Amino acid sequence: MADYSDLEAQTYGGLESDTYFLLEGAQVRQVSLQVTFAGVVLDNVIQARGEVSADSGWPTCSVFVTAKPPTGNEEDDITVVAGAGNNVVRFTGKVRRFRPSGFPKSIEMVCSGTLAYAAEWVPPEDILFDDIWPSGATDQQLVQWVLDQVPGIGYDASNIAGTGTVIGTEPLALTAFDWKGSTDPYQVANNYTSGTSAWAYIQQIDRATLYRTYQARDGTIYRVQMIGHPDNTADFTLGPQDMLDGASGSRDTERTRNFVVVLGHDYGDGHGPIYGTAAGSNDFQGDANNPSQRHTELFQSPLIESGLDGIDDAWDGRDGLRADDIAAMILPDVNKEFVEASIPSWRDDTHGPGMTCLLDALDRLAIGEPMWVARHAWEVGDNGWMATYGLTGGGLQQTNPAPPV
Amino acid sequence: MASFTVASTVAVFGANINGSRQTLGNLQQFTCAVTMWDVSEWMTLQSLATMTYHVHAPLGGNPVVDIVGGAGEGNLVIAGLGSTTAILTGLERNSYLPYNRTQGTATFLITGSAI
Repeated sequence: MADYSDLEAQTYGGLESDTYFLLEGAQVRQVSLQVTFAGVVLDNVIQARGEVSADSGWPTCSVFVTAKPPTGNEEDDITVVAGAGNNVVRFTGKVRRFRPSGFPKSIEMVCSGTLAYAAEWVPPEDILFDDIWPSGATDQQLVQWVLDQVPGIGYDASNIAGTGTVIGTEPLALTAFDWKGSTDPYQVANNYTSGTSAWAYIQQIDRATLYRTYQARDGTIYRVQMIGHPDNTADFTLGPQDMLDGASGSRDTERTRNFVVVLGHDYGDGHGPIYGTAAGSNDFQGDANNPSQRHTELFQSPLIESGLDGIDDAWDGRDGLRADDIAAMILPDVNKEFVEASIPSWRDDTHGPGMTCLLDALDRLAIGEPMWVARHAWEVGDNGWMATYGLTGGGLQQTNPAPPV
Repeated sequence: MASFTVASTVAVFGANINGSRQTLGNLQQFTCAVTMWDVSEWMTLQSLATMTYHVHAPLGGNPVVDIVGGAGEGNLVIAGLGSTTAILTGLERNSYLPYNRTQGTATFLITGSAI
């Protein structure tokens, strides 16, 4: 017969041996979000989210408030400090737009890093390359010079790395290095053009050299060699214990290529652009040294001044970036199985693009290897703290130490 | 008797088996029938509530609780049942008794060992 003495006495003696719950408990964190706009700490912030991506160049952030702050307007400084214990600067930049919503009443403050100004600035008139750099310049010198032209952008020269190769020395290739402004002073008639933005010019240089210029979460501008395969030492690990619902991965060979052709500058001699190649092999496409087994990736930049002649296939002996060097650097990026993953996580570490993550999720995502962080997004609000990692990898690991984040 | 303590604030209340229940989830939720002998006891317990929180449930490993607004995690001790850590996520009172006494329920999300 059941013993209900516990109930009669209103005690819990019988529950002390309760074995229904075998839970081990939880990690409890205090979420923090502090937004400073135009020098004033906001007291009406609902939530915030942001992203740093190697591909987009500058960080973005949205801060949601209940009403427009009484102090501050577009282009004023904004800083977001957030985390769930690791409360660090997640974004520094400028407010570019206010986006109010009628109901529920809120205002989204749309923000971006100052490097975004480079995409909006065009020289007032054409800049002829050899007027500024008669003896050529290294790619890092050029990027720093371009950044110098744009109002509102600051950088530390030691963070702007590059190949060190002097480019822009071949007289017949100099037009490729000219910077188109919004007017052409050498034209008599209507001479207004849209020109080339500072960001587009930097991207041309970055593309030719396989470097990336980007702005980190704290506003620091870096230029680093950041290509699509990870370093051989993982900076951190993500496993199932870190991953939330929605984690996904991808492995494919649809983009795999075993042969790279790089086309450089076309000197107008009837030989076509100079070129360089790199051949590799893989299990299913074969050896690209055999022309019948080639699967070709084509890469083109007129800033590459040196390579093989298009007719006699001999090296032209010119200075500057060499097409065959660039081809050899691209090959490991395409002669591989492409591995990608998107990982939502509760972790609030200070992570960012260029780091190498060991994704230890062979069972769930069929991925158990080092991957490169291409994107780090975060959001903080009623749903606590959550980060999303965009990872890419595959192929042989390289030695590309992570930049600061 | 029972107590819930966050930092230096201690709320003391009577815990009754009648009306108490446990619910299984990513974390154990424990609803406790409470009796207060004075209004101040109710006010103290109310000040320890955590109304905005989120439970992350990783694909492997233990849950992670983010406290967004409220007092946060504290120590829950119930005489005859045990002690653990928890956050107070709900508090209601549905009747008034003479001499300022109150009966109601307190809902805890158990963040420590289940009780």
